[in-house]
Amino acid sequence: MADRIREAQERLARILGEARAGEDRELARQVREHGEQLARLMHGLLRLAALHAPTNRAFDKPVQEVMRLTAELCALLGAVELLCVEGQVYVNDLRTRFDVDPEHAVALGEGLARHNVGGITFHSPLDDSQVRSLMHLLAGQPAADRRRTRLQEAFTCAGLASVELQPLQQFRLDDAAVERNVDEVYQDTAAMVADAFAELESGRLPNPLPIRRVIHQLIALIATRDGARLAFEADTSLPAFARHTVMVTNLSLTLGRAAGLPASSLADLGISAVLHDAGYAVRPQGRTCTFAEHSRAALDIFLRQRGFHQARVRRMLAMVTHHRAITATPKPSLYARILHIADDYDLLTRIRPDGQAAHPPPHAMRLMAAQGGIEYDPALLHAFLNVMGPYPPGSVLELNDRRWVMSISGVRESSSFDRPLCRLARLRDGSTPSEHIEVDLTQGGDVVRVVSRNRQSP
Amino acid sequence: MTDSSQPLRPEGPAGPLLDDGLGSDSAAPRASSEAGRATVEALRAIARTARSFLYYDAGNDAIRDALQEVARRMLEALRSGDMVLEVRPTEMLRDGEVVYREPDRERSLAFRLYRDGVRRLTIARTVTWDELVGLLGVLSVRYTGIRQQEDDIVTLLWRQRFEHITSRAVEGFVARDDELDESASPGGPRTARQQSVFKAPYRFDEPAPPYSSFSGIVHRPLTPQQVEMVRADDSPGELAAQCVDLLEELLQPRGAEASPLEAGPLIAQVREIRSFLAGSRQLRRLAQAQTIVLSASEQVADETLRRRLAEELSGDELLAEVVSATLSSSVPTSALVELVTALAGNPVPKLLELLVGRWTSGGREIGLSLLERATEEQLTDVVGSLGRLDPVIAADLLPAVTARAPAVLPELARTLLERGGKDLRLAAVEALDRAPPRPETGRLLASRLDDPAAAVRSSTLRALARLGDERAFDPIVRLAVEREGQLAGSDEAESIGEALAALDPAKAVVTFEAWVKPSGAFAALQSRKEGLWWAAAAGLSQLRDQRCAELLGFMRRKSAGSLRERCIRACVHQRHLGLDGRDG
Repeated sequence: MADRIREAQERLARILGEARAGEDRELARQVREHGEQLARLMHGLLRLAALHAPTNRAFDKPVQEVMRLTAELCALLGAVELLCVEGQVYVNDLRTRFDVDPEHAVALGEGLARHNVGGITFHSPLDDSQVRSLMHLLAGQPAADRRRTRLQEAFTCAGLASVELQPLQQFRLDDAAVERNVDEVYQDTAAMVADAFAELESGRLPNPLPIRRVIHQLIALIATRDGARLAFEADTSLPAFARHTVMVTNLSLTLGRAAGLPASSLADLGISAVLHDAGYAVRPQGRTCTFAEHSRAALDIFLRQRGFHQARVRRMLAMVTHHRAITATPKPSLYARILHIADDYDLLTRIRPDGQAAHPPPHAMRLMAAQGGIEYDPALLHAFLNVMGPYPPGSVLELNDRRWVMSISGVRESSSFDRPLCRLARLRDGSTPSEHIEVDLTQGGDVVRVVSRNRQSP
Repeated sequence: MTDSSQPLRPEGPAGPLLDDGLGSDSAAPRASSEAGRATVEALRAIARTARSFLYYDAGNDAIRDALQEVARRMLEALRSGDMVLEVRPTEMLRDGEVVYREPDRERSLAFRLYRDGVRRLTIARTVTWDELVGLLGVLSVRYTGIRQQEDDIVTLLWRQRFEHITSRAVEGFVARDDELDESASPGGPRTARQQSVFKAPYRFDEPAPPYSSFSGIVHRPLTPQQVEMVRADDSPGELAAQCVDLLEELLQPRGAEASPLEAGPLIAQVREIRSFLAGSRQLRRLAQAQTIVLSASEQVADETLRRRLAEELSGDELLAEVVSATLSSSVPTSALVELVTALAGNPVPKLLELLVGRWTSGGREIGLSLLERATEEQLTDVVGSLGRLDPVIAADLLPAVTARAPAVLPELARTLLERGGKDLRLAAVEALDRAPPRPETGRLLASRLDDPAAAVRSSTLRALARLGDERAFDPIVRLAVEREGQLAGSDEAESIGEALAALDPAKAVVTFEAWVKPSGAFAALQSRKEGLWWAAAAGLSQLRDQRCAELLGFMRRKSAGSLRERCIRACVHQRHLGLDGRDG
């Protein structure tokens, strides 16, 4: 037993050592210190603003401090999010400590809650007049209804458009709502992608933690559902900017799961997928990034993240090499090889501005199948083909009875590899069905040809 | 609780632990069942252990004691079955009973889990000790406030790949958004920042791959080899290779993809990777990484980056990490040597200095291996630094250095003989002795005949004897006469006698006879010079001459005690040579 305890001690030392290596301690220290100061100052200024006009000299020094802190935090973090949750104050996910005066945290939260506000996001540093206006408005009387919306409007009028008010936050009490609606998950996903791209456009590093939280939800979804189908159905509900990224993410996770990756690796892979085209969000010399540049265009931003972590290394490697052939030297990393397949499938089947896709999904699958061992990792390609099948979701097929159907599922079982679940797209007489009718090809119907180049209804 | 080898049996008393009990202001009932009470103690022990890392290193006895307590308490708590814990902000429940409560969120294990979204934690009855340690590791990371920008607690738990510990997690906290614009699309932007992005058109219009060949598609399960390949590529063991690949991508970009990167973050990344490779004892990969950095420092276009990379090539910090990693593991020395060849400049002298403190615990082997493989240029630098090293170690290294670079020996020996301590002088003499003779060898050795250290003088005498330069004869005789009073019974006396006999046998016999049977008017009045008799005995025993045998016989008859014994041994030796001095 003594040996087991000693081994445990050594292992714990390694775990903590690895965690410390992955920590950007300097950043954490600065964020915690500055964040605490900012929260304290805001609480103090709120009280002051309730008593004095914003031009009062009593504001001078604390206003200067708030200006300094917002400038320093914005330089460190990009957008600075100060959230009050159940008596706690968090600055960009870091909980600030109010050891000596915890009631200040509560008071700050209550002060914001009067306006139905749970937090404030500073998108850029504030100047003197902005800080005074901010505190004056926060200390003012809340609107009769839609308090936060009205306050945000007032902010905009007062030149505070860069300050964003967040709703009240609460801890999710139990897991009753864990089984979220798929649409909600994908709305979260689009919002997450938008935030990430917005940060990149501003030359700032996206925070991987919010991305990771959304990826967890996607992993939970594909664990129990048809990943190929999910990817297809989500695509049409997403805003244009997010479709390619989310499709590649979905397909990568689906492929990764089929290849046997554990949840932790899927999570890292998912973040890599979300950020694989981060280069396009960057504007080198003020212009749009080219295809040739995009793999490396965002590297400067990602290199700013400090702390060694395997997810970071694998993410950057995947970003740079995800278009390389399997035959390249050195061999692309596992994540890069997975992304390569998911990325190319979408590029082959994505609807272009002219309304057409390069290839119908079944042709894309056969084209990619011919590239196993040449362009793509043959094992991963097999796994992908096993999941998607010869008629992936979106394939429009003519059956032997002259009906047209659109595939809406991936492979459900190996025995029905080429018989997906479909939706009736056209009746025998050429008319369009008036309602959603499912056609399960395992129950009958043979495919005689692949019909349309357009993923959507023919 | 089980493990692969045997059930866990905690031993030893629980030592002093940090106080971390249930909140004293709790109004809710504590657990009353046997399982509940046992769980109370188990969670108390886990929380205490996790918090202990705020105060102690993992190797501390306090941690050891805490772990023993955890093992003991968890065994008890799992007797009644799986431990399913419902996690609330400041408390945890098992089967509806409060088994943990800590209202202070700074101290609370429950809050740390709850804050990260964990709502249920299930520890199966069959949990292994290794898994419990992994769980402790995750909780300890959180307690010590390590703020990783990568992993939330869910990911930390996933990374442990538990088989007998599961969790259910939700998003930590969510918005109560009761002011959503009714006209806004549910899937639309939620913030001002998102709005600009949502409006953007689809921009990633990359070209589709230009494939033209089709292939059929069949369902084919992955082979075990393919599954294993994927698993291997995903394993932590592959990370070192990926680090090297990433460095190559960052520092040696290809063609049209090339774009200059900012020096500061790039250098920081180089350091992080190197530190990881050194700390994980991946010295071959570290050597590869250094080679990449070296190449980039010579080729990269940006001058600032080139200069900064050159500065990174031979940092003392890296060397110290490398040495520590090599000495504390089973990493073969050859890996370190390989790394050294990839380092710019000559790190060998610095490495030798770093090895000084560990010379007798592995450092010697490494140091000698480094020298065996050092280039001529590196050896020159080593030679220059030998005088600054610990004398014992420098003496240890001298043979290896001179074996590799014999040409440096004369100058090096001169320096060490003039300035070095006893060990270094001795090593220098021995090195001169072993090395092929050079014109200055005899002179250098002779300069040590008056060395203050007897061991050095003795070694010098032996070296001169082997060298065979007759010019050393007279100085040795002078040495013997000067030091006669200290020679009796000494190794130095032996060496003097043997040296004289070797250098000039005929002359030696005359000299020995003069020492043993001095002539002259007052010879009879002079007391016996014992020291010289000792030297004479040693020298005469080496010579195949009847006269020597006779002289030894005379000495044997005229001496007493240990000197007589010495003479007897010499006579015996003479008889072995076929000579008999009994009548001398």
